Amino acid sequence: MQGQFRHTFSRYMFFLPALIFVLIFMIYPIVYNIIVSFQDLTLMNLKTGGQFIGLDNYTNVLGTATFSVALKNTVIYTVSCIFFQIVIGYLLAVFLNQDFPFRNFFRSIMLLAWMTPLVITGSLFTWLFDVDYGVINYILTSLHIISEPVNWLGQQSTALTAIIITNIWIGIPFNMILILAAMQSLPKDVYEAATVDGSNKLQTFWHITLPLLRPQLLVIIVLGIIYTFKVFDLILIMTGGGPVNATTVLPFYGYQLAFVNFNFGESGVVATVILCILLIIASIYLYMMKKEEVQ
Amino acid sequence: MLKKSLWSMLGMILFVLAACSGGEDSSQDSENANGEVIIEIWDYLAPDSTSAREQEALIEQYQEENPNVTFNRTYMPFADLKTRLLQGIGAGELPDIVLIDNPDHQSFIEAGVFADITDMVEEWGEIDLYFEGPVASTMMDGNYYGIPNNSNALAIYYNKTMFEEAGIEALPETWDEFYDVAEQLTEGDIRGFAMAGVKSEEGTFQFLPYLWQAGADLDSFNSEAAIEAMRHIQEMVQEGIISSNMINWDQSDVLVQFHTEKAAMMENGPWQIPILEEEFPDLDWGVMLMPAGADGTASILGGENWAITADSEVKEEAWKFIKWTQKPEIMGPMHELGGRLPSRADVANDEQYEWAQDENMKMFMEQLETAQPRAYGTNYPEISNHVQEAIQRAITGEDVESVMQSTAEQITPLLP
Repeated sequence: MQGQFRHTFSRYMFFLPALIFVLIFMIYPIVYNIIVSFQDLTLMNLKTGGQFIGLDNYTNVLGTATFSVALKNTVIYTVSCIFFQIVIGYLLAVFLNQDFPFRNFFRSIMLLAWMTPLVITGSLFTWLFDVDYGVINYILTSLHIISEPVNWLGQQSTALTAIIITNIWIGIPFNMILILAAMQSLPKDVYEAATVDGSNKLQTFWHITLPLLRPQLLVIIVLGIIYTFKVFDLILIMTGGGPVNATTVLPFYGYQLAFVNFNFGESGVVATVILCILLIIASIYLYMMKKEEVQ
Repeated sequence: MLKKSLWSMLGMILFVLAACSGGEDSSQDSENANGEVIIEIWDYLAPDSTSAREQEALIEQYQEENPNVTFNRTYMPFADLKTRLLQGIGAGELPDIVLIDNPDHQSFIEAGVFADITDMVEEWGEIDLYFEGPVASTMMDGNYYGIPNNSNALAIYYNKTMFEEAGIEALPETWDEFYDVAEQLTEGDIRGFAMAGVKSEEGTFQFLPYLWQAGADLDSFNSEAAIEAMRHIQEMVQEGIISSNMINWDQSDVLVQFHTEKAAMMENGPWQIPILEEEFPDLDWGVMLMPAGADGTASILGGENWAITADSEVKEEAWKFIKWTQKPEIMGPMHELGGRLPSRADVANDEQYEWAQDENMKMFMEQLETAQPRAYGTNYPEISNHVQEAIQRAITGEDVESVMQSTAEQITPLLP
């Protein structure tokens, strides 16, 4: 019995380094953040530690107009980015799944957008969207789609759209590669059977490709949501959250509270909200995966 | 056998943990028996910039003259310095000397980062030679927590060639004259004027002078004068005199507009002079004072202050160094090297230095006399946020009166 225990114990010891890592670098910051969100921690009492003030931070932050705007922006941003990234990524994957010359070259060059650092992509698109010299305005006015140049990043109605377009451009290749990899693992014989049965392209897509791709698509969507939800760099580079608050998203708002206003307690609230939302999404994913396995 | 592997694993974990905590700061016990001193300095002067050149020269010369002193200088980007100071407070690991942006000085005084050096400053007795605004930014409740090192202010750069071509001879001195001249210079895709309206401190920095010129201040943000100031900017944007793109411009973007000759005038600081001279020698430009509003001309004070941290164990030595950098015979040549303007009158008026000779530098020195500090207490960063929002709302065409009204309601409780 004793030996048995020692045996399993030593096996658990191998587990320890990973456990310590997770505890120090993941669990501790999360717990500390939640504690801070209940404290009145600012620059003034950072040295001594903040007072516990109950739910005051929560009522302050959740009540502000900026928070609801930021939440709304984050949701719009995440949903539209993921939707277009996956749809366009899928179409490109179908295209690159065909056999044609230089296929591999095109597959790898597509990844360039994903590999470029966000700072560069952000600055690049800032210039493309520029109202005075921007290429996008030039093309649109030349084609007579718009009569006056649009100040894409400079007005509240279009700024978020412009950033969404930028992020869609960045995210397409990554989604394309993942979907392409998933498609290549699909069995060929079902498609042959479908052709024999006389199903058309759309039917094949709805009844064969989509159901077969479902598990992989789920992973791609959940990863995408988590990745897109924490957008920060693009916003900072392209608009700084402006004009007014048109492009303020939750992570950016939290950053602003902590490192511009030095209100760490209120920033903790925003971080906790983000954590909760992502936890919910992750649990939905786990639930769906479990159901999938049972089937 | 099993035991052995267990122990070796435990040993390894301990080793890793020990290695993690091995980064203890050696400057904590920085004064050893031989009187050797290590002084740690943090600043945000970017490598290869003129001001970093000055900082390195200062350190080198002081080390030569005082062989027992060694400096550990750490550069960090502008935005990181504040974050690192905050982390330093939390971890109890701060440097001995910080070179800090003057609007941030008071916040960090109140956070308890900086030492009260009133006794040393009074014993030194030279603080009266300094300009009022910069000194005010180092003070809290009548005590000194630092020394202003260099100052800057905003003024108007103008393109002489474009002025000549448009037949403008007299430089505009009031808002109305400025507006007319700028309108005259606006033609096609060339704008009369460029300024920054980006959603960061730079936006506030560029707008506050207009508020003061009109005779208003942050505590009267909804007054007639303040509304007038904001309307002045809004009109210039609506008339196309300033590009509506200013909403995304920081001060370097404004410089780009100016040197590509897409803007005939710009609002900017003296740190752009070396860039314009070195990189765009063909451009013919000059500097003039900011136009006067109802309350005369006014500008905004920027610049860096020296400060000693409260936890430093080598305060005396640090102060000796700072005092040394402020000697006129050191500061004069050093600030020339760094392309910065002095904050003390005797050096500023000394004929032998370029700021007393060069026409453009002289304009900035003159503008500096009307420059006001952003001394609005510790909530200033948040106040500034609201001001940035107000500017952006006005530029995008919202009704100025309601913008100023709602912003005043937000910032009044934050003012000291």
